Amino acid sequence: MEEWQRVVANRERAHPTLHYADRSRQRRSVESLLRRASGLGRDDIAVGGVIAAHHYYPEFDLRGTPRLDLTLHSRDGRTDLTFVENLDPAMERTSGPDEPAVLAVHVLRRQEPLFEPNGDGLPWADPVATLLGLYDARLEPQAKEFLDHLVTSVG
Amino acid sequence: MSNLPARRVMQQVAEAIPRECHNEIIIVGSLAAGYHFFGKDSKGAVTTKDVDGMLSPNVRAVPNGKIIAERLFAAGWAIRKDPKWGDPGNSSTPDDQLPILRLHPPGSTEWFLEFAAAPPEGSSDLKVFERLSTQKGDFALYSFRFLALTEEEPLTSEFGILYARPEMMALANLLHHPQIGNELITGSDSWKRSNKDLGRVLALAWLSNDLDSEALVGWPARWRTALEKRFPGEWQDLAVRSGNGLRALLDRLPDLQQATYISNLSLLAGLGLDTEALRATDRRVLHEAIAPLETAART
Repeated sequence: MEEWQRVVANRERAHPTLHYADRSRQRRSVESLLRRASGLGRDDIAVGGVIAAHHYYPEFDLRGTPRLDLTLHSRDGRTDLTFVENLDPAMERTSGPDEPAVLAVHVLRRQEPLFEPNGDGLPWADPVATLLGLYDARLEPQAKEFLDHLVTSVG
Repeated sequence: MSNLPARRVMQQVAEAIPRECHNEIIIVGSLAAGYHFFGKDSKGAVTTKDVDGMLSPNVRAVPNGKIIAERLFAAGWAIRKDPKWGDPGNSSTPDDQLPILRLHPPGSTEWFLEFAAAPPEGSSDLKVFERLSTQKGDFALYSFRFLALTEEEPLTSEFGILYARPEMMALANLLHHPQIGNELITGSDSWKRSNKDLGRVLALAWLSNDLDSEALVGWPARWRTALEKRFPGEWQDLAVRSGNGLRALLDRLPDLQQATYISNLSLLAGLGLDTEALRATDRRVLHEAIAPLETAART
């Protein structure tokens, strides 16, 4: 558990996250953002966060989806974020810790993305990336619950 | 400007206009937008003083204008007093000195119905005047070239009278203002006409998006159809410059601030939107509506 807490504490270094907030006062729904993301036809983007947590753990205890978490795979660390404009050009990058993000993009720097296929939809981010997304969204109780589920599943 | 109940004013206008002319006048501007977005709410108001009725098609604008004007005069509608323009003209009054036909409803000076004409088919003049002769005297019917777009698939109000689609009013404004011009709104010493009209585009987009978050995505296809039909020889040129005004607005903060301020006095009243919100809406319109239209025009 201590090791895991170190991973969580250092997640920004290994797993940087970019946050986007709505500027139009007309926040687009997570479903709408996801639909647009799915239409991009990209294989280097996966769904993480709350949506993926529900996929891996249907009993996951959170109603509603506060934001869309996407994991962007980048082998060499370079990231092309122009796709965000296609989701909603009214969003802008924010670093304000108290500003609610509509979208979080987690950059995954490793050789293999370990995404799980999802039919015609965007693939799923792996469970660990999903879990880190929950911590990033400050959903600590839900993250703990999801972590417990993962530990139990592994046995 | 007054807070007018959009639904009730639409009803009053519809009831005053002869039923046989309902399909030959299109309500455009503030009332059309106010009715579209707020008309289902009986308290839904639009802040304006003028209700714009465009006689369509152009070939019947003058005879229908005469029928409607005589009917309204008989029903007690009164010519709006305007110190600048004075009384109606006569047969010897030059066209450019004729007043526009503006009529107050019986018993109220809170608002007036202003008549315009759809532009002549194929005309390339930005603004055209025609003479409307009535028993009360002669008036000018003006028409703006790009208002031809508002004749495309107008919507029907619950009272039978037609009103322009929000996206067509938006496109007419976009084409009318390919840049931030210096022309000021009548009666203002600093408000630019282009800021008001481009701000109106953003207000229409914001309100449309509020009804349906996918609304803007549907605009470019309808815009293209309308442009091809109304301006067949130059639709591509018009399409590729349709976003110039909004791009200029993004780059000029004082103008965007003024556009926001004016919009907050009319269609966006009470919503408390700031410049940042309209800037974001500007980006949405450019990306989701204008860029696909520009791409279609270039291919």
